[in-house]
Amino acid sequence: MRLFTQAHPNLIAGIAILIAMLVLVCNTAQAETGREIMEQVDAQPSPELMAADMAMTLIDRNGNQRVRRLRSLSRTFDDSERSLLFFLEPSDVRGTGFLVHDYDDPQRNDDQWLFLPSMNKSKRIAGSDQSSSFMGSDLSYADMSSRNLDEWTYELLDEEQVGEEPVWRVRATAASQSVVDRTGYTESVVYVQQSNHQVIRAIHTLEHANERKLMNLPEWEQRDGFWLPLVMQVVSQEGGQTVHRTQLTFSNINLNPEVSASEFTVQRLEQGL
Amino acid sequence: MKPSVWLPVLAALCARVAAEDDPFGDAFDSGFSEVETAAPASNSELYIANRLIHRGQWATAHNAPAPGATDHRGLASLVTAWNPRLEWRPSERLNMLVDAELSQDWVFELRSDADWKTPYRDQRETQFALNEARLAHTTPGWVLTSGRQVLTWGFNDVLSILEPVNPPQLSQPGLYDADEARLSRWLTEARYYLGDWTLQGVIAHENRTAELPVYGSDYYPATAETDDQTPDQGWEDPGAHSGGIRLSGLWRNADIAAFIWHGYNPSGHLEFRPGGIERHYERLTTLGAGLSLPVGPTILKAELAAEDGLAWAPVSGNLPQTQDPVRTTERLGWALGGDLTLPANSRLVLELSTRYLPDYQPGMAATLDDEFNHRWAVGVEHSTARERLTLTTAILGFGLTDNNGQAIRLGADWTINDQWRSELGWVSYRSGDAPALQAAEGNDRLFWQVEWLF
Repeated sequence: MRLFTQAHPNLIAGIAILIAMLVLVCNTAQAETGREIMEQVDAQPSPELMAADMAMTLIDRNGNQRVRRLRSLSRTFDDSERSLLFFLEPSDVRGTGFLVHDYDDPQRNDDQWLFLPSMNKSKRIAGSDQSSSFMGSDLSYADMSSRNLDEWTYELLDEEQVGEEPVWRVRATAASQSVVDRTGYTESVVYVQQSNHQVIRAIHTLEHANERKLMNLPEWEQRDGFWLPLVMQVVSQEGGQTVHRTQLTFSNINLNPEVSASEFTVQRLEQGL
Repeated sequence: MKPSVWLPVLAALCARVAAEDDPFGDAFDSGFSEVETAAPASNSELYIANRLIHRGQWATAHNAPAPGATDHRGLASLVTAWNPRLEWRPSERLNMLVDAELSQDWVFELRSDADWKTPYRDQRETQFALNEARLAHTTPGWVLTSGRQVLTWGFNDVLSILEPVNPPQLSQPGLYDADEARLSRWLTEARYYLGDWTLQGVIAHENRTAELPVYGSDYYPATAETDDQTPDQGWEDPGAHSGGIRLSGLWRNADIAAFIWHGYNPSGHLEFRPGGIERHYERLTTLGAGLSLPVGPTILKAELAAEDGLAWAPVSGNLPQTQDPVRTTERLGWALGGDLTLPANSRLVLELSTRYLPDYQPGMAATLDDEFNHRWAVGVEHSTARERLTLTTAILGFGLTDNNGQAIRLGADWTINDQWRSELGWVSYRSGDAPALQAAEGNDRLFWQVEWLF
């Protein structure tokens, strides 16, 4: 029992960007420095419209699993990326909805609304602390935001093989303490697949000593010229020991759903699932 | 050292080095080998969920009972409840929802010597609550819904003055979730979409009143029962229908809304008659408007309301008697709120509301309280353990000084897994000179709840 309506204040932007993360495109340009490689990664365009279902499985150190399932819809507008999401499971949050207007203008804060079905109420909610956990998972909001290239310095470490695929390993180091404070990371080593400039793995070093996060995207689908990750796995480690895992599984991806711009409004949010 | 000793050590070291070199090796993969990845059933026609709930209360500060009164010390409630929920979506445009709760409070059996009074048993012992039962037809341009439901029109979480549609639950102040604070009622609602704006028209067929403490309850100190003169239902008397219109939308990045509502005062007013105490529910017309606006990490909220038709009458005498005629007056209200997102999954909520009687006369005090009626709320919420544990502290204050009374609530909400949830909390009352808290004085209590979702 709680006196105040639940807002999960950090949740919304994260979900929106999580869905946007599905969207990567094939690009095979050659690159020589760490910075050039990351510019290629950053330059990927995205499809304008997408619907998908998502299962988020949280696994504790004893192997116990909790599963959240969501239905999502996202669309690129002239000034923003807009997403509408509804929880399907677990049953105690079923029907809870989120609407996010993520503006292109970096000076403008996102607009976010939460819909609580038991109260038939939508309410405006505020932004987030980027280093916080996203829905109790191993992902933070910083993980799901596209990084500003200039906030990091890059070093090409080497080339490796992941399976049959050659990859570049690039170290990204936070350029200032404010970036560390905001993201919680001091540096990241990212694995960029050479054939298409997809980031398929990353190792993030946290500000706290002996903590790191491993991120792996093992399954992809190429559709309509876009590379779409189907599975994302994240592991949190402390002192080399795994303390928690998260897997995201995307399904029912539709790049041409029949939806109009009015689907991304408070009015539609208030209609519920 | 013999090779049989150091070879395994060396092998283990090499394995560790190899693992360091490839953190995405077999150990990484094996951690995800049994992950549940079934696709969501987003398009299913029928959805059924159940909750089995155990909840209880233990009074920690209650006095010994007066002769003939109920002994409310110690165990105050021990409930088992079943909460089924059914959704049916036969088509894209049509959907139906039923959410009900059947509950039994075993405290009346376990403490049969406590001299429980009949009105209190009737209110709590065996209950069937139809929380929601509605049918909706949805199109891109309009929506029509009919059935038992809640429509929340306010912007503040706790101290909203813009909630005319559904009556509040007040039988145990401070003990309800935000989503339990309003009682559903049978409404027919039509929404029409006009770009960024929504026009709502609502007709209430059912006239439920606020759930108030009844004779025999630990929150009802009076020694006589109240005769509740509840209004007719709309299907009994078409003239007893309530209804209103609301316009809401987005304007200059602010969510704004305005409405007019004509209905009944959900808490009514007391009249002291020779035959006993009566509660009557007068007709009210409410005009309201409000907004919420994001400013950095904060959502600012503001509300204004004007009510006309509030009934009052002076009360006099050693044996209180209402002096006729019962008159009506108007009341103005305003409220401010701030919802601040803090670092590390924390949140701070501040709310303040004031109600003002512009035509105040001393005789109004017995029915309508003071000329100015201030309330405030402070809440802090912090989630930890990957959002499985949420700690909440909330203070609801009456008046603007420390002597005016407060209700304090502490809570810990623990999500054990997707099937099990639990909560433990404590609520305490300092009545001071706040009339609204006089009845709650001495009712401090622990409360708990365990839920099984299946």
